[in-house]
Amino acid sequence: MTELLILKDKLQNLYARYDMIISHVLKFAAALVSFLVIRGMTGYNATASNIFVLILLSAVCAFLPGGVTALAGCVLILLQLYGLAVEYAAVAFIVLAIMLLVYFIFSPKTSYVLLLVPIFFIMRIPYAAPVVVGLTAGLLGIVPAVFGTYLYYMMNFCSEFALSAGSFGEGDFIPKLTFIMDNTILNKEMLVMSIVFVATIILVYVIKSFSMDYSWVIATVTGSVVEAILVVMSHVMLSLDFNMGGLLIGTVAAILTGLVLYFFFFSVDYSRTERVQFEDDDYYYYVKAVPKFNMAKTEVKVKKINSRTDDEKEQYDPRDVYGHEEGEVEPDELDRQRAYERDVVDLEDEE
Amino acid sequence: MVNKRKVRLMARTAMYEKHEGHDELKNAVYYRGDYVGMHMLFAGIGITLGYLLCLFLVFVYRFEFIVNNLTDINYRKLGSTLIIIYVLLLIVFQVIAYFVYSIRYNDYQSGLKFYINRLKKIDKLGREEKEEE
Repeated sequence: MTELLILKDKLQNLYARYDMIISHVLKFAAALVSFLVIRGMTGYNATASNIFVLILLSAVCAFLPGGVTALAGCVLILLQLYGLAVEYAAVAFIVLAIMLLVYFIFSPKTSYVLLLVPIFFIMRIPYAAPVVVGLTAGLLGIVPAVFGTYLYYMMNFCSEFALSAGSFGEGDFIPKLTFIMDNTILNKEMLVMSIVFVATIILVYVIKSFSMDYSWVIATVTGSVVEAILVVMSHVMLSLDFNMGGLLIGTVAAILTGLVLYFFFFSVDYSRTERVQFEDDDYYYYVKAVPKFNMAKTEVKVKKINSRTDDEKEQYDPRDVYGHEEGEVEPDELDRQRAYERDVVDLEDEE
Repeated sequence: MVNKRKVRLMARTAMYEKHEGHDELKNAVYYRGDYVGMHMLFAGIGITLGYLLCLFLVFVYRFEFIVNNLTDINYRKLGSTLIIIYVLLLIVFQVIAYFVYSIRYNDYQSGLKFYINRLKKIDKLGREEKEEE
């Protein structure tokens, strides 16, 4: 445990110092993995499957906000599906457009969930996805998680569709569309998984926001177990197939993923080195601000903010700080308050 | 001479401008009503287009049925059902948009308060410096 804590500490310091490099590298890696996963599942379009194109695109995404990666992923998926069948791409495009219109108007910052969910599916640990989404994005992640599930099942159906595509004639536009929609949007398995995911995300989010010790850990474990129960119940009730071993492994993976995330990402203050520029009448300033890591100090500060009341102001005695002078009268309430604000509050604000 | 207090305050202010302030300052120029109203309008347009796309998907999915029963469909009933669903959806989304953007606007305002306070302090320090010279 001590070694883990030391490792965490080292990570924190490393990130504080080299955040410029690390965050870009992580973004690049995340984008590349997503794009490769998409390529692995589809691969019907030569350009969108070209590894150099993908690397180049990931490099661009590394320097742009996270939403761009999600958007690029969606475009790649559409291109791949277009290579397979125009109808397929059309259905996917309309569904994605609906999501863009009604959801991303509200919250563009959770778009990463859209690619995260299919990646968890492909890594064979889909059950970890809602736990992670509940812990990070919270309730805002529900809608992209549902659409992410849809994206996975849509890509999953590709190979099956490719096999049966030959049975359709040249002008069979409508039957093709109906066939695709039956197996993607109206896929029972997908709908069941979406509902289970939504329930799990809400549960994890609610437990996480309780103000008790280890609420994150409790949320992770409870969420994963309840999710497993829901999966079994729903699949048995609708007589769908599911793999018991996979479910057990998936649940354990979900708990582990949640705990690892908690330990390395959320219980750590990844403050970053800040580089800012500004000027006043006399100088240009190029400031590099490196965060200090001092737990004890932070805790004291938090306590001060919460416990300060008017009583403290009224009992503050400037004479203790500046010393007595002969014949000085006892300061009244207003004097004490003013002195307190001057000496304590103003100083803290600056720090 | 470089004033340490001032540099510290200015650095904090610059960090705010770079991160949280980036969005907040852009939106804080609106009045509350304008900000919330503008986003409710966008949400309304979004839901309208989304609803039309949904209808299109349903239309394509049931195309065969629709073509076969062109004459038997009760268009008045169908039309009124679709409009009622649309109005309900619109109301729900407008209410959600109202709450989401009101809360966001309040958050922006509280961030902005700190920012303006800091600016005032910097200004005060700057003036004191000038007087000393």
